[in-house]
Amino acid sequence: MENPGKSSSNELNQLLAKMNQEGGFPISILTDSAGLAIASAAESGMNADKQSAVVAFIQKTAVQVCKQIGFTSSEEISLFDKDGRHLICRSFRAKNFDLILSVIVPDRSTSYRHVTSVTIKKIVEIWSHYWE
Amino acid sequence: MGLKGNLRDMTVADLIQHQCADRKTAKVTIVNSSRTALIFFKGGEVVHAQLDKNEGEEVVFEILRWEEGTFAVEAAIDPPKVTIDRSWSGLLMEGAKRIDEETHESDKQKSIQAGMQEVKGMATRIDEILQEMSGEMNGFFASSVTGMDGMSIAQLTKGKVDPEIVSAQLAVFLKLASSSSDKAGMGDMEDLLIQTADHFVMNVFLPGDNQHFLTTIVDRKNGSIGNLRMVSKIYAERISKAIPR
Repeated sequence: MENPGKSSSNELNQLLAKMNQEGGFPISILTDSAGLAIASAAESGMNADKQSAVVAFIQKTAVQVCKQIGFTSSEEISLFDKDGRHLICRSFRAKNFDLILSVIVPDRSTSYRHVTSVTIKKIVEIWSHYWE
Repeated sequence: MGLKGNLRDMTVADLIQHQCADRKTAKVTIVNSSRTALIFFKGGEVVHAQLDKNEGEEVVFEILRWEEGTFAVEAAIDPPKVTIDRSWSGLLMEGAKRIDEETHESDKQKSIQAGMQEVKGMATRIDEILQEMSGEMNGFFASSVTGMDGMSIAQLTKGKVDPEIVSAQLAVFLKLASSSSDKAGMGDMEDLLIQTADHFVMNVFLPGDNQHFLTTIVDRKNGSIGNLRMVSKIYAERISKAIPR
């Protein structure tokens, strides 16, 4: 019998690895809104667990901030460093679950939007399939 | 006839010192504008002073501040009463100390006033820059310059949003994001963009300063991220120059 959790996680890990390859991202993580890692793909030396904790922390605070200032929840957070590297956290919903896909983009010239949008669409499909 | 003179030639302190060093008994009358003070010396000590309805050492401390006026010394005049028992050197020292303290306080007040003027001028300049920046952005909603302590320096809003709350909340967020960026494998944070369903919220640190940031909010229907980032950076540079350091 198929274990939906394990199978979907494998499929999601592969999906993220493929996205990293296409987008040139050193690391990508899919977490739930509490910051628990669901899937990840990273170059050697990158710590996905640490990364997901940071992402969740930033995302949670952003949600609180948006609420406090009377805006709707954040859909995307982009944090740029002085070398042009940026951390992108994109929030989306899949079957009533709030998920966050985050990637590190190595420089300003690398485009991330299209690649991550395609991946988000596929994640929603996989999620819907396994959690029907 | 006794000694007469002008306070420009001999200060009140010199006058007292002179009478006391010579162990004089005398009455000195000092006239400053329409006010007349009397100081009585007995055997080389200041024993009584009066000015208007006041008597005692406070009178001496007051007339030690006089820089304009005339004086006249009448020798061998006994004091009508004794209201001062402090030594003449003690009186002069206490008087000098009080003048020093007043001068210091006055300098401090001037410095505070100058500082306040500078801050007021700075806020006005930044307000003007924010006003100008709002004209460069499509869909401009609000902007503010905030310290990392959450205190807003200047703000401009065209929408229904409380800039004080926005500033305080974003300062907390930026502090957190800034301290987290190295943990996420990033270097020093330069800017942070939040996209909500309706707005783009761009936060840019002022150049050469991680203590202040410029927040600019535009609505998504009319604004664009590229324009928001570019214009924010240009104006962050200008605002940074307007802040005295």
